Amino acid sequence: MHTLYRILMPAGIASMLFLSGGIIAHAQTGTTSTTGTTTASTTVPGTPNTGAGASAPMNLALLGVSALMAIGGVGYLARSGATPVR
Amino acid sequence: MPDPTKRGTRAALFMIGVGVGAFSTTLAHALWYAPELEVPQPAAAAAAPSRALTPGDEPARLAIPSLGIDASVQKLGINAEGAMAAPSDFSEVGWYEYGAVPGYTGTAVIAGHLDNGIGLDGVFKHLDQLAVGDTIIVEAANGTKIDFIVSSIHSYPYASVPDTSLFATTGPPRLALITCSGSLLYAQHTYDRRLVVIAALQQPS
Repeated sequence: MHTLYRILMPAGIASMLFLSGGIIAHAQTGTTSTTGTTTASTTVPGTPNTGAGASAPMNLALLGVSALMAIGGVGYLARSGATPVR
Repeated sequence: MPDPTKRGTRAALFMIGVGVGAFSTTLAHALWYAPELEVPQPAAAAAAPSRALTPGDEPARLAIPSLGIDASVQKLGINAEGAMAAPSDFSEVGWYEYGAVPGYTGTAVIAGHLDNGIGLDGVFKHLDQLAVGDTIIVEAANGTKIDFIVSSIHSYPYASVPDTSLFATTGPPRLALITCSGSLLYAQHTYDRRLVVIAALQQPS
């Protein structure tokens, strides 16, 4: 079981670190081309981007692929009757 | 000579680790967190507040009884693109803290999400169902409740919103609610229109 952790934990952590940067960019509300304008005394901001749905196809695809990876791995172990690696 | 069984088991465990990690990370970001980097507002360019702001004047909750909305209010600044930042939670709304204070001179702007990262409803999903005459209630941090009445509803192309009047810090006390609407623009990660609801301060009877 100890070896199992040795493999699973770094893999999970590495994937989280790798994905966090990319996913944040997709899951966030993004940016628009509406930028602020400066008047004589104040800065007027552009309007916010409050629709994250544009990232939904990418996020759903990532969810599907990652779920298939995990299920595939579990399926392989179940079929092979594998014991923890030593 | 490497044992093929062990190699297969290691590969399967690696797939499980990566799959579970990627799935949980994606789901967390898509459902509960919409991070957006905010940049500090330059002091010299900061909008003049409509009056001296005390901590108790800050809006804390927004209620729209006709839509069943009762949401916490975040304080928002501007993002790196120069636009008002978006709330970091799909179920909360955000007030532009460098603009007008609800109930005082100028137009206080509050934004909310239309949807989240997997297309589920955001807090302002049904904002388009508001009608002129509906009531919006802003509760300040000090407990004061301020009633606004919807006076007009507008839909603008996202690059053509009249920002200067929307974020006005002078003029009658108004509230502006804003969210995305229209069709998705996948390349820009946004929608092609913005829905803006303008509400006037309800005068005490």
